[in-house]
Amino acid sequence: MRESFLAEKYEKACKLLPSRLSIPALDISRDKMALVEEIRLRSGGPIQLVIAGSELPLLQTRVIGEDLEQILDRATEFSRYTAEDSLRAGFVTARGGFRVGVCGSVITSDGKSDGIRDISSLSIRIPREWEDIARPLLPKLLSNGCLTNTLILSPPGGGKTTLLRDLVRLVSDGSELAPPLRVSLVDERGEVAAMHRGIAQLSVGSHTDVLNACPKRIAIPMLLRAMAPQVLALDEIAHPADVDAVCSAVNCGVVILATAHVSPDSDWENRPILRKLMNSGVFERSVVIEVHKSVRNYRVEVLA
Amino acid sequence: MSAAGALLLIVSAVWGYLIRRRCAVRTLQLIRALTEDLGILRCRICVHCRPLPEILKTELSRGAGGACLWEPFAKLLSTSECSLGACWADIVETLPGEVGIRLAPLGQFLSVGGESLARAIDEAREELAALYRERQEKQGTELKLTAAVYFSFALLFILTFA
Repeated sequence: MRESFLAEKYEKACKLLPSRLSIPALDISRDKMALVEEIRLRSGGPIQLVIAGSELPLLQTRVIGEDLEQILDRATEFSRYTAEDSLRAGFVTARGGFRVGVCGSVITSDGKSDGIRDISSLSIRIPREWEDIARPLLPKLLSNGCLTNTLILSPPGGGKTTLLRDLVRLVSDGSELAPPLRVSLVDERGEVAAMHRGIAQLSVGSHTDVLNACPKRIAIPMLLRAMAPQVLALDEIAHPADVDAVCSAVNCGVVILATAHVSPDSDWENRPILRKLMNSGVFERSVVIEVHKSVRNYRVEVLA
Repeated sequence: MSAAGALLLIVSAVWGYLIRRRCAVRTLQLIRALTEDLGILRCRICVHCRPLPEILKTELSRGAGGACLWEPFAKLLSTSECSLGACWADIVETLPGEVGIRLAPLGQFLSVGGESLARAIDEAREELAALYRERQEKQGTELKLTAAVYFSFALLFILTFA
């Protein structure tokens, strides 16, 4: 059932490719389709399917620059101007929640990215919705029936965003353990809700308001003022100003659900931002995701 | 019998004139419609930032320029394997030569949007407006001349063979 759902997602992602490339890309088994996490296309090379972190080339294909332009045209529905801001940040979100990362020659002005031309490679990320992966963790994240400030930690690709998305959905829709809560989601990189033309392409719950493509330090005060959230969800805290904004939100009585990167071989003490975040005393629970042989293990720790 | 023949000649002359006039007016109407449509396109893309297929489907396809430009363009975009620029180039080629030439440069800016598209649309609209004025003036004179020639021939024929 789940394999079939993931294979369908892969097939939908292939619709972004020109038929010259989509035909061989669809000529793989459905079992393999379900495992594909990303489709990578580099000018002059074959299509690479990312499965469990490794790249598998489709040797019968050869990507040319025109293909990449066409894919970007399709991802933006022939309207790159509508994705101007996210393109500056190096990605676009296509219908269906596919995040297309873009590489090429960056046009800069005043030291900032002003767009990308001469596209050299694209990465189509297939969103993986794992409904109910957060359900077994939820009781451990509650204290006296109330949701606690929770930080999700894992190495890149560990499934932080997927877990956060499901947690947001559960909290927003409510469960047998807790009533529905009003959630405001800051989706700076468009990965959690994958908003497309104002519609969330991935399930984030019926009581969730999404502020898309906005830096957290700007988004948090905006949401606190405008949406009166009960829960504030943030993906990837990576900037000192984000930590300050999180602390101010907690002072307003909002519950925080956030994620942060940790390297598998180093602890958070070695990362200044994470250290600042942990020392702030904001978070009461952490969920550490450990990946062993493609199997994810979720460990909940009580911090305060 | 000769009166009927003369009448037939005059009717033919009138009919010929009307056909010429209709052709001329149709091109003028197309230029005017496209000038207006480009204004809508500019506003929807550069101000409202709406996606191109939506603008084509909901607004431009219904207008006077819809049948000959916007509708086939939307169809080509949804079916073609070519880039936006190539699709645009293919479509404007089907328009009357003078109109197509003026619209062709828009292709490279359509997906980019922003100031560059706004400038390109403004230029194209100015050129189309100038073409409209020029053709209107020229066609007015031409149609008068055509009418004179048609009726002169008809009368000459009637007078010679009556």
